[in-house]
Amino acid sequence: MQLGDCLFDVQKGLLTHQVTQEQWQLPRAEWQVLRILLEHHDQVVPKQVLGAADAEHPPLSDSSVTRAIFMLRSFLGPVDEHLIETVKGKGYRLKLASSSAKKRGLSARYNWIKWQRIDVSTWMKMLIALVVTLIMVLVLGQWLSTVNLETQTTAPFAQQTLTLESGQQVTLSSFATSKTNNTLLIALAERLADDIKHCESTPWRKVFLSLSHDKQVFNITLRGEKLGQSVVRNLKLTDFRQSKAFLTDAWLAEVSLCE
Amino acid sequence: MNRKLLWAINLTILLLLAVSVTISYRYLYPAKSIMLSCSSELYDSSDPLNGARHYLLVDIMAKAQQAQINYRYFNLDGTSAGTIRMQGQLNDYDEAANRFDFSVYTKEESLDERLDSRPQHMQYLSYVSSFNLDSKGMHNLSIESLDLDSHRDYAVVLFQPSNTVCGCRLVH
Repeated sequence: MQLGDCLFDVQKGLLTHQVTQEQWQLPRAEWQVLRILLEHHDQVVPKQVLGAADAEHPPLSDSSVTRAIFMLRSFLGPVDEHLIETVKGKGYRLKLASSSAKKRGLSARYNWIKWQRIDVSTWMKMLIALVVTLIMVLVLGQWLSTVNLETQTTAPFAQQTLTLESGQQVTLSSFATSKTNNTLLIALAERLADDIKHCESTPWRKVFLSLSHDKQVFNITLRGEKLGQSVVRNLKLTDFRQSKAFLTDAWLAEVSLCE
Repeated sequence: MNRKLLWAINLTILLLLAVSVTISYRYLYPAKSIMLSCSSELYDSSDPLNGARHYLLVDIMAKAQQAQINYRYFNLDGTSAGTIRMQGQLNDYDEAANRFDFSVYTKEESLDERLDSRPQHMQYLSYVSSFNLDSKGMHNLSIESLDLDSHRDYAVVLFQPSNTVCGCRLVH
């Protein structure tokens, strides 16, 4: 038998609260009072009837009936305690007919009270789960940002390998900040490659080229070996003019990239 | 929830916090230090007839959080043509990219009295760094290793945002 949020097993005298899953094996007084109220639901039942003796038990006193009503209301809770109504000077009435309508009206309050009924341990579980999830997300994010196994070094914009008459190979790599508008850098790389190709041999194995972002400075870095020693040569050409002329025959002859 | 499970959760949280703090510490305080010395030949392409040619020595030092970058310009006869000293901090070291990120907050320049001998490269660097320091309060730059030979103590590095390649000697 459904009583608000509670399910009453009349045969076993067991009252179960379906929200909190709390069960209450009713003592004799409460069991008898509730059973009689159910038999006469929506009718006023005098205290004497509720406490009447049966074949096995003596009659209940008025105070026992009053206490049983109090205990039953307590278990039903604030949402459903109104189901047992006190009719002053006459007795008690179990209201089942209007309970569903009232329950709809109390749905908002019911939801709030349902939350309130969740015990402390459940709140703790939810809180711990939330904290663990939050920490895991933070740690994972941080780990991903720091442990990146992929190498992220800047790749050259263009790369070519030159083969000299002696069979020696020279790698020429150009670096640019953008993949577009690199006409000047490409032209300079070609001009330099033409010059190096004419070398019979050269100590340089790698040539790195870059043009500053505003195209005012052209950088050449030569990397190679001389007499078993690692050698590096840096050349920086600055030209503030509108029409740039970084590489000229005279300059290439002066710096002699073959040596 | 039984007691064992609660303890397991507590220990897991503690472990995650310890890992997190360790990673954060390494991220905030990179232990990596760097010391480079780079020498370059400078040419003024707009004035080739007058033989406008200089030498540049760049020393880069970063240890703990402090960073210093010195640009020393020399004439062909070995006399000083000017210096630019930058001081700031090492913000980050990206191990995957082998890249150091710096922020320069202060700069000192000393010029040769003969302004006509001031190298164009110095004029250029002075202008760019002053522009950033005046407008943003800092001059950010990064140095990324393109070609590293730690046995022979040489590295070719790329300076950004100027997009400058330079071969340098690793100093220990």
